[in-house]
Amino acid sequence: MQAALKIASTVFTPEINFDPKQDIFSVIGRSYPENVAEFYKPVFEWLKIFLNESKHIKQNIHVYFEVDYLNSTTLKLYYELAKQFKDFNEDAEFARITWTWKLESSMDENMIENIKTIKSASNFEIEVQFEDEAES
Amino acid sequence: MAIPLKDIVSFHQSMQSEDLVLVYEGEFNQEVTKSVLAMTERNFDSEGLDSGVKKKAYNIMVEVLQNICKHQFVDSEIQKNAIFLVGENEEDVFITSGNLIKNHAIAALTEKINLINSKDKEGLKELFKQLRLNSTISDVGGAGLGFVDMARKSENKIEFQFDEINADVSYFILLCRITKTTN
Repeated sequence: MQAALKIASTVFTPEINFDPKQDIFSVIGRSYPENVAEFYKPVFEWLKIFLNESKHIKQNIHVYFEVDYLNSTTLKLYYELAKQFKDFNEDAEFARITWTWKLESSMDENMIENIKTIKSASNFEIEVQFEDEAES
Repeated sequence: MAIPLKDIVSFHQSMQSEDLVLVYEGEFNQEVTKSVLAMTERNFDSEGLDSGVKKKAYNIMVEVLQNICKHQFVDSEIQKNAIFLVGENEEDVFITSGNLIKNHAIAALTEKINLINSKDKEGLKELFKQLRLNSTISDVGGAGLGFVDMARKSENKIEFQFDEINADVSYFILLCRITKTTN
């Protein structure tokens, strides 16, 4: 099994915790690195290997995002991420990725709209969970 | 209120009579961006600014500051630094920046912002989608989506101006306005 990928959060970048052993795949924090491509490069590289290895494994992968601030370039990369997940779901024999976004209900409508667009553009099941609902 | 965009100094002075939150002038980098964002956010929190407005302002500030970081350049003959201002009055939160720009870049930038300003909410959404699909992430890590994102978050037209300094260089002034009461 692939070793975990853990990146601590900074003011500009989210905490990344992809740990297959613990069954945790989370991105939590804010995302507006100065160079988005550079920051996410190891994440995409890790995922490429992991998703390739996981194709024949009978286990669902649950990805959890809690990113309240993100810049426009991050958003573009998240669309690419959605595409990779979609491709995985189409190719994989048994496994399936599910993706949950936790949003604050006070979040700006553009952000919510963006996430809904990721959902429709990728034809991917993304569960959008609002904080208030999650707590009730 | 008429904003005298023509002169960033007089703009600054006129904003001092308003609730000016922050002015920074000098070199911009990721550390400065971090400090400016942290200070402004604290200020917004202490003023009890609506969290929706705060988030929009914060996002626009990020795009504006990172734009300056990516595109700023120093011209040893022109003693003019980049500047970043955040202001707030009863109606609006303003985010303003000024930085040097090469004159050859003005036409394309003007065209880009005019296109953005010609769009309504739905048009901006569509434009954002087109750019997202067609853009590539550049060497400096941007995808050219920043201005569209600013316009979408601000829900007002982007105000901008170029003050020519010499044959090669101008000063680019940008203003984004977030209206506090949406009704």
